[in-house]
Amino acid sequence: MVALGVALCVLLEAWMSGARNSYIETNALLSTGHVKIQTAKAIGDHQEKALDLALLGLGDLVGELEKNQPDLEWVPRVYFGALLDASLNETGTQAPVAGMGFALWGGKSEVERLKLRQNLTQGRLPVEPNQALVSDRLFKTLGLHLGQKVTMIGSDFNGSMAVVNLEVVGTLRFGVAQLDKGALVMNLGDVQRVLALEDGATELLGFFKAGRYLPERAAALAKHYNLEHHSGETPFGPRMLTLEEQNDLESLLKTVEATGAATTWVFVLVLGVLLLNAGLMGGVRRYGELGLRLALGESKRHLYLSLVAESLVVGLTGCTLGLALGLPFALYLQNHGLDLQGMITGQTAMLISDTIRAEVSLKTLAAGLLPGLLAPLLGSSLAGLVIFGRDTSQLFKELEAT
Amino acid sequence: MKKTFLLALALWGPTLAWAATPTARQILERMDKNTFSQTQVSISTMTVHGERGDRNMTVQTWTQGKDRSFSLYLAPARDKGTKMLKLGDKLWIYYPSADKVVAIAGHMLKNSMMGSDLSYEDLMENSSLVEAYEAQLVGEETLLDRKVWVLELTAKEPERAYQKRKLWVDQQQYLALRQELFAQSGMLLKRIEVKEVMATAKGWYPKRVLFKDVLKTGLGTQWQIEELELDPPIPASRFNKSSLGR
Repeated sequence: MVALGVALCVLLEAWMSGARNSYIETNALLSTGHVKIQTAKAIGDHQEKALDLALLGLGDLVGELEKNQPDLEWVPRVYFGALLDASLNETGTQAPVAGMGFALWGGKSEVERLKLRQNLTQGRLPVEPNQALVSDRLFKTLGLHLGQKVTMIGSDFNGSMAVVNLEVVGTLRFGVAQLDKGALVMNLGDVQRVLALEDGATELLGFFKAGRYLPERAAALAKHYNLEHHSGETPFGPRMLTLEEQNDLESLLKTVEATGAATTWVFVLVLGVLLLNAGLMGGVRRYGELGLRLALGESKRHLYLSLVAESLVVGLTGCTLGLALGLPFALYLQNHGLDLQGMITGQTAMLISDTIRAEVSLKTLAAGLLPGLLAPLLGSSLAGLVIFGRDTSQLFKELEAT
Repeated sequence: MKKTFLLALALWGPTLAWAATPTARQILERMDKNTFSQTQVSISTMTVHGERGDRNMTVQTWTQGKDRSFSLYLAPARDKGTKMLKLGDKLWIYYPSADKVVAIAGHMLKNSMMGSDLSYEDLMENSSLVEAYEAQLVGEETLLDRKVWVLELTAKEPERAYQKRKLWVDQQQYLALRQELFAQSGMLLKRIEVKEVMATAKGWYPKRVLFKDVLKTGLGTQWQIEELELDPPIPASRFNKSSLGR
């Protein structure tokens, strides 16, 4: 019972932590960064992808940030909406696309960060201007083939039409339903040129070089930056947002976190109560045995300690078995994840990865060991207290009666 | 004698008043005559006063009647070589960067033309105001020290881009010095103001016009005619789809 309970606690905690961190990482990677800089107007008008509200003077902005905030890596990106036309001459078969301009080559390439190689489903990454990747779904919708020329028709920074021919060199799957519907990935420089945004980007993302999101540091950084730049006073001035301040993530993450923590710890508590009860019942069931051992001259203290030690051994054995049972599953889910594609429905501002991975940490071990070790120990300790209340002169009478 | 004068005044008075104040339809017909020519060739500059700076474009346009036009963008370098062909209710744009002809139809017609305050739909206005709208003369005002008639126009067809228009028409030059264009709901969509006029062989012609899409940020788009030739011969091939291309 202890082993099974510990295994379930370990699995549940790892899964809940993993899911939360998976949401954070997916959103940070593809949308929010750990912090993000946009123009105050783009943020205020909730038009984060509007090209005419893009950041300009990007070179200076990045230079200043790299100098003042060296613990973050600064990544410009351009997100835009467009049509992809698959016909050769005049416009014909078209589909709307969610365009993304990432640095695909050069010193600040995002290929590794975005795991673009791993996400390729066929073909290769663009290596020259005017080459592009499209999502698998879009590729099928338009009936494209690798190497095919397509035309992107969109609006540029000035509101003029932007038209460019692209060669589809590969397809990819981000594993995020919102993006996989109609993604078009181009090199950032190409996008900037085509959309008349040569020294601009719709957003500038900051990622902690530590590799993980540091909420307190991000909040302090954003506060300081916005104060320093008088953000909000000029419509096209830069303004920094933390991850939680974007896409309603603060409330969504709080909900996910609270639900996860409540589920895990309620489960841990229930298991603890069950094991505590089992410890108590074990002690009560051994009432006769304890009386006999007292009658045979065993000291109450020794008897009590032996009872506690036994429960410790039971707890340790149960925990070991439980960890042996639960950890491999948790580690498997950490490494391979669980593909929930098709199960995630509905619209949300939060990007949710199709594959959710568990995360094993010290907290995971604590979630298993806490009820596994402490509850039987506490149960036995409580049950054992009756030993000290028993009158030795009455023991033989009790034994005769049983 | 006095009786005869009064009788004459009673009989001719309304006619004289009518002669002094033309009807709304007559005003619109005079306006159409003022600007209409069989063919036109012009070179214009378009300055978009955007929220984040100004942008200039130069375009040469060949027009035949109301429903055929061909435009070639001469500057800036980014837009140079872009061509637009309007044939009736069809519009195509040729983009030299992609060597591609894009048919502009449906919702795309509502998009901004080259980032300006004009939409492609504005370019597609084929009918004269007399043909497209029922007009009503609602008053007289003084605008920019000039006497103007105020006209309210209601579209005859529901598919018209602007269901209502209000015009301030110069009483001497028969040019709409100001126009306000409304949606069916009565919401103001665009404002057009003539800033400068020029004399042509046919009358007066708007030389510098400010278009303001009130739903768009920025200070509007100024359209200025640099060169205008009325009724020049234009080869029919100019208005052929084959003229779209390199």
